[in-house]
Amino acid sequence: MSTDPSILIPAVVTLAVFSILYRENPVFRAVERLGVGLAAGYAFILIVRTGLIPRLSKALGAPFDPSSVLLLLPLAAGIGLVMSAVGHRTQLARFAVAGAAAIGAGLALPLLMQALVLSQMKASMVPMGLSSVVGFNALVIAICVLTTMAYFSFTREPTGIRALFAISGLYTLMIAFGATFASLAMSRITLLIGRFLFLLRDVFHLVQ
Amino acid sequence: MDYPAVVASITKIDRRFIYLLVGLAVAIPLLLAHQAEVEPTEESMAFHAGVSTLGEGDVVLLSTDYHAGSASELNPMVRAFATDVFRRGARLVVLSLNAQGTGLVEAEINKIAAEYDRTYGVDWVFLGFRPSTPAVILALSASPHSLFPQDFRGNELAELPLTAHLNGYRDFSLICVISSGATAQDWVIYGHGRFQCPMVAGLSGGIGPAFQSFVDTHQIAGVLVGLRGAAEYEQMLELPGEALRALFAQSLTHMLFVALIVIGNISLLATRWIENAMR
Amino acid sequence: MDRRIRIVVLVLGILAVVQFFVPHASGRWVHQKLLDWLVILESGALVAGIVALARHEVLQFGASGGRARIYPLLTLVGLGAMIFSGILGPINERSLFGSLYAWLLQPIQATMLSLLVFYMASAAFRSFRLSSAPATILLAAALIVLLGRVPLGEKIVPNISLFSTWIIRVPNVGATRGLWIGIGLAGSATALRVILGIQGPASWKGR
Repeated sequence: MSTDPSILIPAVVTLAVFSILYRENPVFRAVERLGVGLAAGYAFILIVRTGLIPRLSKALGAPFDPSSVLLLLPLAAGIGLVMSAVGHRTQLARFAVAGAAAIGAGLALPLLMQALVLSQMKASMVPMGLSSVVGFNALVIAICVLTTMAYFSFTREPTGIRALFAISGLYTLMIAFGATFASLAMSRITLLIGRFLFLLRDVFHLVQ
Repeated sequence: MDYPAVVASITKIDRRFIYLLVGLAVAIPLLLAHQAEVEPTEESMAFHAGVSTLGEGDVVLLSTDYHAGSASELNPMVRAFATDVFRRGARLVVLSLNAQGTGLVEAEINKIAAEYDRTYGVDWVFLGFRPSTPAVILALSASPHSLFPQDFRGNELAELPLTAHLNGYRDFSLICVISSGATAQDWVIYGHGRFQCPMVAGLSGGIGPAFQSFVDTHQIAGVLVGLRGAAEYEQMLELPGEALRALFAQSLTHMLFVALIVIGNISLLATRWIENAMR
Repeated sequence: MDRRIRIVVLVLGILAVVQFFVPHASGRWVHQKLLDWLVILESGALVAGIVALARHEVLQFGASGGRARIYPLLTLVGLGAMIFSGILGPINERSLFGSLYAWLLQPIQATMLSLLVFYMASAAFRSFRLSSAPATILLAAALIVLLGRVPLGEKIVPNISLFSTWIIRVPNVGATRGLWIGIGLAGSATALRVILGIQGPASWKGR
């Protein structure tokens, strides 16, 4: 068994988290809460020390440069947000939220149509038919696209052919969700393998 | 035999027994150290082909977006990709779009760079983390120095040989996104959507199926999905690593999931059948 | 007040859209400034979140008694340890900051997420049932992909990987493509509504 603290401490922490599988216990809760604090502190340092401070120190180095002055506006709005987090609600916080939402929406507007709607529609409009595998698959994809969209069409109550399309859309979605569940299970199993490999190899030296 | 009692005991099995089975399904194959082999999929081969276009001195942007929770799945991809890039003599600019994964990525690349004798600042640079993925992706196109005046280690970007003359996406021969979350989608929308930059991706299993449609549209040139994708890439590089090793444990746990679903449903059907028979 | 917010949203939103169609240097300058602002505003929002967490934990520490006090205290200790080690020393892997990350935070996060496998397995046994036609289809697709994605599955059911690949490449692509188109259309409509002040911060009254 390893005696290196860089292995032993993570091993103890790992086993403390696994203890929840037996039953709820204070050790698990303690580690969980410690993790929340560490994660928040880690993000804080990355944002402030590596992100904000270098940029602001550059701006403060040239305080009369228009670019530097312009950086102070979002900074003031950001301080407003922090103030609202400690209970002092300011108008600056509202401007901060409004500014972020407006810029985000403006940047997304032209690109969402291009990258998601037009490209995906174009890929669905390819030669299709029953004479070849490629054509058959393209036909199935086109039908699945239409039925999925029909399922989310709530303008009118689906009746007749529209209901048939909507139900087919539900079945298509179920196939996709089934595939996603399987892939997600695969993903989570990998994470457990990682922890077991750490315990068996690095801590207990049971495998090479 | 008291069939109703047997069926009832199966349906009321203690959850901890299932947990134990999962633990054994993972631990036993790891102890056996059996190395699996996989047949690469078209998507993984396309990923490899994308990296194969790189030559000596080319600059690659590696964007990582995952935290320690997804490290077992995505670290093997980062390791294999960095190895592939360094073996080809290309250079690497790495950035993190998830604060919690920042230290993890730096440590991984550091190890590979040391193994291939690559110098920091000349052959690779770690930019660190910035919030707001869309803004970071768009800002890298025009003003990387404004967004990142310094790298993660506090060096001035303008003073490092690799990044001194970095002006945007035209300087990158390839972009690789290793992601467990929504930033892969942001790269498709803001990166490829606006600049049509050549892009490959390594995705966690959970989001892999949703991104298959971007492979069809060539918005993503090639993709590795989950541990299997990482294992295929390791095999193509002839670089057996953790992914190939873990694949046997993965197989056995999948089988356990299948068995649990089947047994759960058989016990349900049997309960219904017994209830009907007793009426 | 509402009017000023509306004007800010409208002006910034239009500037962000227009720069996309203006390849001139002035368009690029505006673009860069807007991106700078967005990064700083989001940094501010994240810092505000962390400050709110600290405040919540301090209040909880004051309000609780006995052993329950330990939990908010531990969150504050973790937060404080990271912040002080990050401010006072270097932040590379060999520093105290890097060690706290590698020795504590990394294993906690990795193990927490890996717990989901156990819960998924238990849920698969108890809840993944043939209760209706859609549930049966979901179950069948999940079983095929579970078997088809690993080498052992191919040995148990020959050619299952072909069928699994077909599910991912054809019906799955059809369904997700429909979803992506919907996301694109809905996202564009929402972005337009935010810029025009119908939805989002400009429409929030008296809050």
